[in-house]
Amino acid sequence: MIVNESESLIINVNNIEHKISVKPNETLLDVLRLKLGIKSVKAACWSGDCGICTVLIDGKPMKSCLVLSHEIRNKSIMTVEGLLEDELFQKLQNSFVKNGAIQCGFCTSAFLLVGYYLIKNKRNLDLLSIKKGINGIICRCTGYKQIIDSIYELK
Amino acid sequence: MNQISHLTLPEFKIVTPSTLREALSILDTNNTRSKLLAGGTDLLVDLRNRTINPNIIIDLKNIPELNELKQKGDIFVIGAAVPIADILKSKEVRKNFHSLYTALNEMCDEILRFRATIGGNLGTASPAADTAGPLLIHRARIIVASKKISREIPIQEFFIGVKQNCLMPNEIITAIHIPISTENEKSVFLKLKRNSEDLALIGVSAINYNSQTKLAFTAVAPIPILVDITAYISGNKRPNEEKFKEIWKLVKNAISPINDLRASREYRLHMTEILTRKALKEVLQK
Ligand SMILES: Cc1cc2nc3c(=O)[nH]c(=O)nc-3n(C[C@H](O)[C@H](O)[C@H](O)COP(=O)(O)OP(=O)(O)OC[C@H]3O[C@@H](n4cnc5c(N)ncnc54)[C@H](O)[C@@H]3O)c2cc1C
Ligand code: FES
Ligand code: FES
Repeated sequence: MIVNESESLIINVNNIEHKISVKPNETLLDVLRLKLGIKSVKAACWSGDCGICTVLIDGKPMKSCLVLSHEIRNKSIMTVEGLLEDELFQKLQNSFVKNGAIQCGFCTSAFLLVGYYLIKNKRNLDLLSIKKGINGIICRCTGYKQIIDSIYELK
Repeated sequence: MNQISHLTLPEFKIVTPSTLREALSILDTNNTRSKLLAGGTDLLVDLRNRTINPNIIIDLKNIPELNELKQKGDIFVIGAAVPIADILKSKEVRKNFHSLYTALNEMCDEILRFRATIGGNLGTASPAADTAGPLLIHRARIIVASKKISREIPIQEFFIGVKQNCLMPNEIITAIHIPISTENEKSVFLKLKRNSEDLALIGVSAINYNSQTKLAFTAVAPIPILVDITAYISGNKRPNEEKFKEIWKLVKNAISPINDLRASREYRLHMTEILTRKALKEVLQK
């Protein structure tokens, strides 16, 4: 039985292991932004609605405001910082720039991560499945078409 | 409406049992002070809003029994903690339980479906729970365990009030059992919502199997409602207008939609009738 008051956890973020002390009530979002200083992960609603806090956990997109830090023991977390050298990811970044998919940029990291997940994992990726795939993230500048086109170009 | 007033969560301890036995025994000794955690898509929002304030959170995700997804004879077993994204990958679910598949495929959004579970949807027991209607028409049984006994609850006895189910504080849902019909079964789930990731304003489910026809309604009464309309249907054929009026009268008496900021009672009633017609058209023959 493990009952944690405040415990040292080893977590793997962007292929680097960090040993940090976390309290059970800290979310993954808290740990990434406040403990590890990874500020590409944004937050706006803290309740699962906006998707801006999305990261990849073992390769799957999840909203980090709804994940407790203790749930990510033995899992690997990926944010955009960890993908900067990845060739496919770089292509996706360029596609976002080329298509004008970035306005204020607040939502961009989340869309890049989900776009990356979709291209890597979905066969026969069509416009509808991209629309469904990004459906949990809100772009306040509402440039969805450019975002969808950017992902579609790399399918 | 979500109105987040706290950026941090309240303080609690967390337990991550790896066996059902361990989870049940922790729950048994702490049942008034603990909360179960599956995907956290309801629980973390409630914690943040301080609508709950547990001392201990019991994370159920590492318990093998709660992660099963398989056919056992003529029953399909869905573990309570299986993420919806994984259930959607099952060919059997897609083939045998069309209405459930549709509901799961539209629930929350694709990102949240990597976390959200049916166990959690039933745990919250919202009147708008999307899995409730399909589980009602597919005759699901909720498998529940406590330290001393296990029991099976027919889904129609499970919901007892707004966000209330019949679980005892020391019980955990381990799985959902759904009978696989050998008959030619046709089912449908229709959901009215304002935008893509919204909770249902109305959910209507319908099934026709073995010459029985049933309807289920969510978000239009304090609990999900099952209405058996077999007596009004003959030869698996769609009812004529006169018969439909009788069916609608029965349904209208069973439901009690409310006025709230998302829709008025009149609109909900009107649209429930329209969706009921549409659902019957889909599961019955001309
Ligand atoms: C943005 C957003 C959109 C949503 N959209 C929808 C929607 O379209 N349709 C819909 O129906 N819901 C929706 N929800 C609500 C929620 O996602 C679902 O109810 C989901 O199924 C909850 O599952 P979970 O695993 O995340 O539950 P959790 O949050 O982990 O748990 C929910 C409750 O159930 C209890 N519980 C969990 N597992 C068990 C178990 N095995 N035995 C007993 N009790 C248990 C918990 O203690 C808690 O009280 C939405 C939520 C958000 C944040
Ligand atoms: S901050 Fe996590 S979904 Fe909005
Ligand atoms: S670019 Fe501004 S929020 Fe999406």
